[in-house]
Amino acid sequence: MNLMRYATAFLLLVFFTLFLLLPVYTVIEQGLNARMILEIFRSSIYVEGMLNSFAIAVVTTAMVFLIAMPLAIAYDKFEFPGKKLSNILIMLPMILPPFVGALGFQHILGNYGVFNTILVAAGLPAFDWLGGHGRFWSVCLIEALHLYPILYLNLVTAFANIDPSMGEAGMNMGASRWRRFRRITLPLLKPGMLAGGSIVLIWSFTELGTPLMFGYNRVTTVQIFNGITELETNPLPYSLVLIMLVISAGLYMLSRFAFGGSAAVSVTKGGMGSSAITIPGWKKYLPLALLLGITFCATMPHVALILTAFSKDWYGTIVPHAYSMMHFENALSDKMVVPSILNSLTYSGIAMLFAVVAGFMTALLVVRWKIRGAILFDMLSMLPLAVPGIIMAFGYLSLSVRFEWAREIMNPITNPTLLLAAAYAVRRLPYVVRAAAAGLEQTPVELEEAAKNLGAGSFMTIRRITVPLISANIIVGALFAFSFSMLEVSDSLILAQKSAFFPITRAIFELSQILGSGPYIACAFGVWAMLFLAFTLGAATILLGKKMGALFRL
Amino acid sequence: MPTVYIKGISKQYLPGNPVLLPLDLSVSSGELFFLLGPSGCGKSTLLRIIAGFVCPDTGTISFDQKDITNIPPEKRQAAMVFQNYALWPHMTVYENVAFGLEAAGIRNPELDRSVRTALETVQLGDFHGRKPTSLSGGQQQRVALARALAVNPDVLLLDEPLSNLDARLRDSMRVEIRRICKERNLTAIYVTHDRREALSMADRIAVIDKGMIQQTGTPEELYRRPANRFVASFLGECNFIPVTHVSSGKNGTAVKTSIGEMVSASQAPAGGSETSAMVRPENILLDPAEGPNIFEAVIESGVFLGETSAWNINSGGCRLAVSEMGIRKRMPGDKCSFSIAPENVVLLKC
Repeated sequence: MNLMRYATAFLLLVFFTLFLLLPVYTVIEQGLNARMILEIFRSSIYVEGMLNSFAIAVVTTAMVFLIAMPLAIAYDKFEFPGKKLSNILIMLPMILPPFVGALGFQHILGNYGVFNTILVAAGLPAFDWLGGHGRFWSVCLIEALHLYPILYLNLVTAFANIDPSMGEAGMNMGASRWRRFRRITLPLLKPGMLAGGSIVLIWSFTELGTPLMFGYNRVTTVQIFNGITELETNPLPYSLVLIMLVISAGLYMLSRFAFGGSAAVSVTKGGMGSSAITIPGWKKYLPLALLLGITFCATMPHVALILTAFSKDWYGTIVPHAYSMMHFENALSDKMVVPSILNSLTYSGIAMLFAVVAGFMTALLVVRWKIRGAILFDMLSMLPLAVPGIIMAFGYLSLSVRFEWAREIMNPITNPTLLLAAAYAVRRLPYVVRAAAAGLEQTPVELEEAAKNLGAGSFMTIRRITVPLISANIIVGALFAFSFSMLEVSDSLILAQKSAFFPITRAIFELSQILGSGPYIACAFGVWAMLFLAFTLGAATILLGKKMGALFRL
Repeated sequence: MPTVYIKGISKQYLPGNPVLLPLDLSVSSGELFFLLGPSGCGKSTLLRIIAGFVCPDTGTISFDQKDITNIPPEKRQAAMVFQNYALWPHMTVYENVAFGLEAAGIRNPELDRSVRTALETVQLGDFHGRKPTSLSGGQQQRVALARALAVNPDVLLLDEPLSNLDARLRDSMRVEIRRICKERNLTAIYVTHDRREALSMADRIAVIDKGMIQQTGTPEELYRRPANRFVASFLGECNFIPVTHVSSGKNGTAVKTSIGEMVSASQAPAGGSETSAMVRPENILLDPAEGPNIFEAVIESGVFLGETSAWNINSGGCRLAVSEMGIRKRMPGDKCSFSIAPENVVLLKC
């Protein structure tokens, strides 16, 4: 039995070393160049890029709080018509990578887009929404509208863990509503706020697709991306990546150890159950109105994307004046599209397999077997949360430059299948581990002990008892790994370098760059991708229900 | 059925905080043996060590001459009934019971016959296709028992199997479990914190506290001749009367106490330390006609409990609890006399 445990640990260690530690190490090794780092800090362009990245992260996170907090409070405190609908509505923004949403958003905010059409119709001057500072705010807004569900899910779970009697005790002692919120609710919410907030902060700090799509070049991630082509002659992007890694890891550590350790934890959980109240009269529709209003804003990019995909031409009108299926047909006949779907299916299928096997094995090691050093595997599996996609992608890229053996099997130019599958798998591993670990934690260990006690070996126990009992969690983990892999941006943009190997997202990006009907075809393609992710996330929500929030926690 | 030998078994999870101190125990073939003690005393850890789920720090466990200390749980032939039953919710009752047989490589028709026999033994012959979640607590408990019995274990382990049942069901299951164990001549080790369960079912009991065996014996021995204060009070209500002087005599041991001199049939505890006389409330006879150890007392308070009345009496400044059969009207402040038979006075270390 111990042999099996240590063999599993060894296999996992090989996986983590090869696809997580080695790439990060290579980035550090290549980027740790004092001259380069000094040069970066002396260059006003790079410093501006960093400041912009940081500003995007801070503003996006603040926006996310402004959106998610009222929603979470409304969900926790009030009973309102359509409350059950909120679980589905909340997930809607997640079904589209923000950079594809940006494609649709350009039709709303462009010079001849919807907003300006309305302004001109009202007799006001048109405004350049995507120029100057407008571009910064657009990037923040579109990222915030994509990321708020992550914080919302964390907040709702944190609210649910606060015993209503805590607030009642405060009320009983004469504290006002505001005082109760500030002194009781907020400190108890801290773990949820930090968990969701730090994921949003790191995510938006390292987001590549959205600023790239808006042509916002003075951002570190875009600067790194643009530097890839001349990497052989100018190794500066390595140092940029290293600086980004240090800042991200710092933010992660800060949230996990500095604040997380001292966060107040509710001693009694659940307690008397929900304390949600029903507001009498028409006011009971206010929480629903808030939810629908935010969902409407959040799905504007989706709507714009769908309208663009179906429009013949969309220029200077609020909605397109003519509709057609032309772009969908063109999308399917484009020589890049069908292979890219097949490529994405292959990469994501293998990635799902990697992620589920590695994730389940890690969860077993950490939650069940608890072998010596299990904590190391827990930390390793969570590391991709702190190491952003662009850094990992860059690490993989540098592997094939740095090591001879890697050039053979992991060369993005000859065949990036293994590289992309592993990169996708590692990126989604924390969610799979979380899903599997949650399943194991909710399953009494006695159920497995009973099987052993009746003569079943370790393998039979896992196959007949453990896996069937946590199958819902494993399926959710697999769905997450698969569907997010299908729409992964950073790895796809950086690691897929030949059109024969382009996955969907890279193909959408390439199509959007083609003048003329390119963006329209890209939008049509985006609609397919969106429907696909909507289906898988819907299935995951139904399977996991309220526990969905557990997946997006540090 | 094998005899179980436990030699020098100890366990600690945190340094300086032992769960079990080195202990020895043997459970005879066909014996229904109880490990009795309060929560956290180490009894469940000992059972889990026997099952193989916990590795002991020291010592060995043998079934007859076979040392099983390092044998994995699945090869021990020691089937366990878990406190929360641990029935697999994704399998039917039939599949739950058949699992152990399948693991042992048994196939139809023998498998089917064994499953049906096991289910009929626990009177659940008609529940094959049901899922455990659709069964009552008592029925789930029976399925758990059938699942353990189906594999014909060498040793049956039961971890507080009745603690989740209501009082009436518990009473009937006690009789049932004892009947099945005796019919099959099973060597069974049963963990509980419920003294009534232990006293009513066990062939022998080991009372455990703070990781140590305090006393081993038949229920009657433990109740009537407890080895120390802990065993005495854990097995039932008792009065401890401080003893000031002890002297051995022809008719037993004469002791001086705060309520007067009395004779005990038991020996004074070795070591010469402070001693007290332990008397059970039901062994104090109020208003006796005659006899040894007669004393005067005043009624302080009392409650009527149905078939008995419980009185608090005060004798020479010592408050004693008395259980009296039948209905007798007494008032606080009433004077009374009482007697204690010498064989019911047990001398224990303080």
